[in-house]
Amino acid sequence: MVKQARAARTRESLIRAAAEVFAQDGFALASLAAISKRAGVSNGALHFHFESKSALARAVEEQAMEAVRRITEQAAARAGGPLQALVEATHALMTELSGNGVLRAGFALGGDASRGGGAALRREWQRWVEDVLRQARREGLLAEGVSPDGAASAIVAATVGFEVLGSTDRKWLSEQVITQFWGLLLPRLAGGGQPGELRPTPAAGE
Amino acid sequence: MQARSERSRRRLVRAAAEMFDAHGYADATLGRIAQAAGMTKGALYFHFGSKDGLADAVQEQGHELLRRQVRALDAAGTPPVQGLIDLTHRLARGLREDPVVRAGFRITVECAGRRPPVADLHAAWVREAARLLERAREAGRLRDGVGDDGPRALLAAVVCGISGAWGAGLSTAELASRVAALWATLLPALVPPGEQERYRTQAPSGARGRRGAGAGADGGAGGGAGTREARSAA
Repeated sequence: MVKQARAARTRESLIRAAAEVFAQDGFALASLAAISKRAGVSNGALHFHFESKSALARAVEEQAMEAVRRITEQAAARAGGPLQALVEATHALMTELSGNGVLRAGFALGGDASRGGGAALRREWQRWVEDVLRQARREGLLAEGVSPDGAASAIVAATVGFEVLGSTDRKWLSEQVITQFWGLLLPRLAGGGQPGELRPTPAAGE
Repeated sequence: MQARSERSRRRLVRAAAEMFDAHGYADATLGRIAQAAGMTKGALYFHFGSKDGLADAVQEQGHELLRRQVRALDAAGTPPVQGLIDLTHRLARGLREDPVVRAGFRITVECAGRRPPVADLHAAWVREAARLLERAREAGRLRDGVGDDGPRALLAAVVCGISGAWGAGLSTAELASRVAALWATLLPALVPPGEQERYRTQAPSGARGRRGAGAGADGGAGGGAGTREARSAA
């Protein structure tokens, strides 16, 4: 048992180290030696857990994907209606991006063409945003003339943009910036009959 | 003599852009770039000195394309809000069809944090968007009470989001309709009530492609993608 726990810890620290090295050097230039060194383990230990750099990148993306799913599920479960859920999820995603290097690296890997992989995280985020907006349309909560897919395009482009800009300057991920964004957009998206009062700010007590 | 030197330089930048675009900064080699340009490695070194030098030249050219588009908008007297819309359409189309634009953004992403980017293309586009926004405000074309920071952040994010999210996988026509849909949502948030009808959210005719929806399949710009496939298959 002790051994298993230690192996899990080593795996975790390798994933974190890989995320940091990918962020610093980019996927193509990141070396396994630099990753094992940063994790404080031997090259052999790295290879025991991950057969290749690509396997490490996949592990980073999987962990990031779990974080995105957790964020969207929590936002959907607690907020008052689909539009407020969108606001909550955007705030939570940006906060987490600013503090969680694995999530940041996961998104960046999706945008790094040298990996040849897909942008699974961005697609997952886009799918969720589209679903929520279509739900809002079905429930009659979107303002007249707002198309769910057009709104999704705007929101996804903006959030991916905040993520890209935030990778070099964290101020783009701040609550203030995201609140300004929603303060601008929310009044144009929302129709009458919302289940509660819509706020561009995150829920209190987060 | 000078004209020939200038032509060689341009050919090298073009070949480098295609190589960076197809293989990324790390895997592009100077030997293959020189070969693709039909020149010797010695000639390449004469013009650029290093891979970093070439990468800078590619980004500088991406930057120059942006400046040229902005000048054209200014010269045509395009109102600033319409300029913002048109610029995002041109960005989307450039990403789809021009290896120099794609390579410039790819280098910006891949080399972020590694060395000071000579021409960070994200930053350049963000600056242009902010400038047009400022002009729109001065001309009284923005909604009252929205403040400065909100629209600036929104536009910066949208510009970077288009380059980050939509580079691949969509046709020119799909891209154009997404950008148009995005503006249909953003305009009412930015301009005064009733003013959104002043603006065209569709791509300007020059950015729609020469044969309408199916453009890009014919030579010229669309050929870039074909060359790329042929090369990676080889």
